[in-house]
Amino acid sequence: MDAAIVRWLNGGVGTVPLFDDIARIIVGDYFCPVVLSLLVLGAWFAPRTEIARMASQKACLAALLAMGFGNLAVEILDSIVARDRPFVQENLQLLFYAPSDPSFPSNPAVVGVAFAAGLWTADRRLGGVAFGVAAAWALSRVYAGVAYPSDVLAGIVLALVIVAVVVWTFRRIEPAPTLVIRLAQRFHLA
Amino acid sequence: MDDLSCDYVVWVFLAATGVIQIAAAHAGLTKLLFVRARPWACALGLLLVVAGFAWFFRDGARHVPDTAAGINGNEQAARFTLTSLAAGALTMLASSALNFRHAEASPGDAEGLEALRRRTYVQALTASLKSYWSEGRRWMRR
Repeated sequence: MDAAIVRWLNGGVGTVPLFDDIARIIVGDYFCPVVLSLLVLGAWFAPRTEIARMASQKACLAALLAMGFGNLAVEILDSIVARDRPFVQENLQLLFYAPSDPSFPSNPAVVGVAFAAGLWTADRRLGGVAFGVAAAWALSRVYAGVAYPSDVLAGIVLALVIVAVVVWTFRRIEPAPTLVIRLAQRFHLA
Repeated sequence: MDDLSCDYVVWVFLAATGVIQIAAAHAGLTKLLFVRARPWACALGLLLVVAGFAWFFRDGARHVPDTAAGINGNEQAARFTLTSLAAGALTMLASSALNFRHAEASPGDAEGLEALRRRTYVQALTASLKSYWSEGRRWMRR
């Protein structure tokens, strides 16, 4: 089933060259991480009221922490579940270089959803945009032949769990996150 | 620094500066803007963001494995953080210089970014540091 979806999606490569060019940029290591990070940067400054800004800045901190923990979880899982990339088993047209690290879980899905879900907790609109970017990044990995859908699904679940834990912890350790932001406020940085 | 790293830093610097302009215009933090009119500040921000992306992707997708000359995730995080901090610092200093004459004489006692509606960053920081200094001295005398 997993391999069939990759074969079906990857079969579309070459049909619309412009779409492939866009997919090549989205699937890369730089475009989506920078777009997501810029959304977090924007969320730090953009709210119009002090209350909304405080909530948004806590969400930014949560998103960054979740992204860090997500990367750590992927590192650990990679050493336990050494799953080959789809192009090793299947005859696919790669839109990306052949990564040498394990496929499960999908690191872009973890990073993308960690950013998006973190932002979503404070700003539905910005979080929605981030979810769109994360979805495009994760899907492009399957289309490009470097990840299975189950890798992406596992990445999404992992990121959502990590974000939930980080947000829950933030509430438990309150007022610590507020104090961090208050300290930054003293120097007009938050 | 190789070409890819250099281009990455230029891209992030331009885009982060642009995003701060757009976000500050949206929030009404007028003394953080390079131009006084908020729509123009948004347009300038958008231009900087587009320029950054166009600069980095001028030759296409740039797929370089991080096992070769690519930038791995941790390096990217570090470079993004440092470069966006530099963009923030430049924004605060440049906007302070550009808006110096337009800041209000009695700007109130707003804290944090909220102060940047009426005061430039340098003015707000100077006032805060003076206040912390006098608070500290009072506390030491007790």
